[in-house]
Amino acid sequence: MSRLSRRRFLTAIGVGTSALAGCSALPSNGDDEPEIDDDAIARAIREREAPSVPATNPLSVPSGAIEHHRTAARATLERVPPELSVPNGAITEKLREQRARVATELDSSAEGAPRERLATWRDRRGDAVNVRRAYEAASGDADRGGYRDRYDEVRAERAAVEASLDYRAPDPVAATVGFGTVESLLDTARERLGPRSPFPDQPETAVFAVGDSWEAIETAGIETADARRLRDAFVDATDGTAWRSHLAAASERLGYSVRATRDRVAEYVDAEASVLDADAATEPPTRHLFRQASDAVDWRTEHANQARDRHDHATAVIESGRGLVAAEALDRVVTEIESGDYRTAVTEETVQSAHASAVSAVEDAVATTPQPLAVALATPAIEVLSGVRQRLDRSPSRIAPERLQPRLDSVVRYARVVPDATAFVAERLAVEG
Amino acid sequence: MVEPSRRECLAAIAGGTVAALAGCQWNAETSDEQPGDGRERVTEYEVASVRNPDGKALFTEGETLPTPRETDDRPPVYRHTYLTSGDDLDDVTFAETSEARTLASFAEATALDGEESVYLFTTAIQVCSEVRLQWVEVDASGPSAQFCRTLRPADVECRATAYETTGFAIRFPFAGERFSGHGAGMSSSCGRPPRPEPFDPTEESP
Repeated sequence: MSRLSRRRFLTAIGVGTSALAGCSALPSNGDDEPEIDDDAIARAIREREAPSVPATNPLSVPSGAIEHHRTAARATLERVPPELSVPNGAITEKLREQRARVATELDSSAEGAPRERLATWRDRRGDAVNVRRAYEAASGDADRGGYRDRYDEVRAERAAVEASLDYRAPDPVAATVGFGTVESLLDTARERLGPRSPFPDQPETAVFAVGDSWEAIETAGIETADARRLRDAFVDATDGTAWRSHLAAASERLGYSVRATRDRVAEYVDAEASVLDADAATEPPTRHLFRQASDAVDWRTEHANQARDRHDHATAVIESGRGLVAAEALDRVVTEIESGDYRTAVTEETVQSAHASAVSAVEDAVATTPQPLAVALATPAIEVLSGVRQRLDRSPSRIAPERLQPRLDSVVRYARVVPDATAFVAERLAVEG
Repeated sequence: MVEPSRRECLAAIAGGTVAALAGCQWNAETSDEQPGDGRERVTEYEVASVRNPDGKALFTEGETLPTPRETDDRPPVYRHTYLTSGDDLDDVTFAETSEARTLASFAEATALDGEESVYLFTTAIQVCSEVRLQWVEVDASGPSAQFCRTLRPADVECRATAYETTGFAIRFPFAGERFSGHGAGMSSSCGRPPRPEPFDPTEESP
């Protein structure tokens, strides 16, 4: 089980590389700079509540779905004897350890909101598959033909579910947010089925790679099944209208809006702070703030384009909205830096204040109506905050205040644009007449 | 004989090869050499590899070979050296085992003093695992070899806690006098394919 779990993978993607890099290096303080107590900053941030974000996603987890995963995971693991043994003693040890770890997982409950718990149980089923198939390979029973058949089957199932999405929902916003989640699951499944997981030529020499390959396709199958479950439960409960062509048209129009908005700040996208007309542009906090705002535009518009190319209409709408937010936030950041209004001092107080402002800005953003759309657009900012929190929980003594502060500042700048962008996107999603 | 370089030490750190750190004495403050600068893959090399089931040392750069402990502990046999001349070869003592003789013969058959050079590497390895040579690179400071460690097939009968000794000899098609160092890295997994190379049809091997 060497691959990232779905949740860790999504967290890393959601937070973005700059956020992960944000705590990777300790800047040195010069003699004339005050010492900053990193531990005090970490303590203060960890003691603060995370922003309160309302549960607005219209999808609900059908009853029995989690129990279904638990039962399936246990049935899979039961095919591996706890005291298993193969000739290679090191492989025996590793398989026994993995089996014991997965068994412990399956005996514990998952935490979080229902969809998070469902995701955890998908991962656990994947873990159980991994152990079972690695054990089979170690025992000389690797089923290459079965793998190929299952791969084709899952790929066909995924494509069938994708083709059947008609975005039936009570209104376009619900269709966007609900089916955005369904598309996301199917997209993750598609990535797992990519060419990164070829079945090893000699299974007995790569038993754990065999486990990984099986885990990838079976997890893709489980994600596909959950996408269908969530979609069916949503559609059955709402008896809504099919919004497919409506969302396709809206995402197309929003694509033009994103391009036009991006053009407004084109010289600052994917650029260094040296393009700015400001003395402060060389100072680390300024450089980091600018770089984050600049990269976000590139990142979001690229995501929107990719979603549109995949015909993931709901995701394309959401990512376009995020692209609009990012572009306007960059524009404001440039103005703020060039006018000399951006504070570059970094102290314990300014970092804590930046964190408090970020939490408030996110809470204000998600209070905008329509709330499901506002939360969807604010999600990148929410994920940065949760990423910072997770990072501090893991390594509370490793803070880079000169990176952390502008990272939090970028959350504030982004979140403050969310209300206007939410209204803009909601207008384009609205039914005319 | 060429001393371990800063790059070698960095590679050892990256590869988790703690034993290599003992020989690292470069001055990090003054060195301007950056790992990864100007590295090129070497494709025209020859290699010999051996395994000694007793966990005994294969060679040493002095006269006394380390003695393995009578336990399941990892044997103290990590050595590597880069030979560019016959004098360098004279400084190496090979063990009186068939595996060590294989490496010695390979080194002796190398056209040192002008046309070729040879890199010797040995390490302890769990009986249930094996070391593979992944690729060889060279830059202005010298050659480096990238190894990986992986489990042997599941049907190989072995005890998880037992160790053996493995050794490699790599013959390069170039003299090594101009180099200031050599390096080795050890990855804990062989699953990752070699780093793809850029396309540059005008590039010549050093």
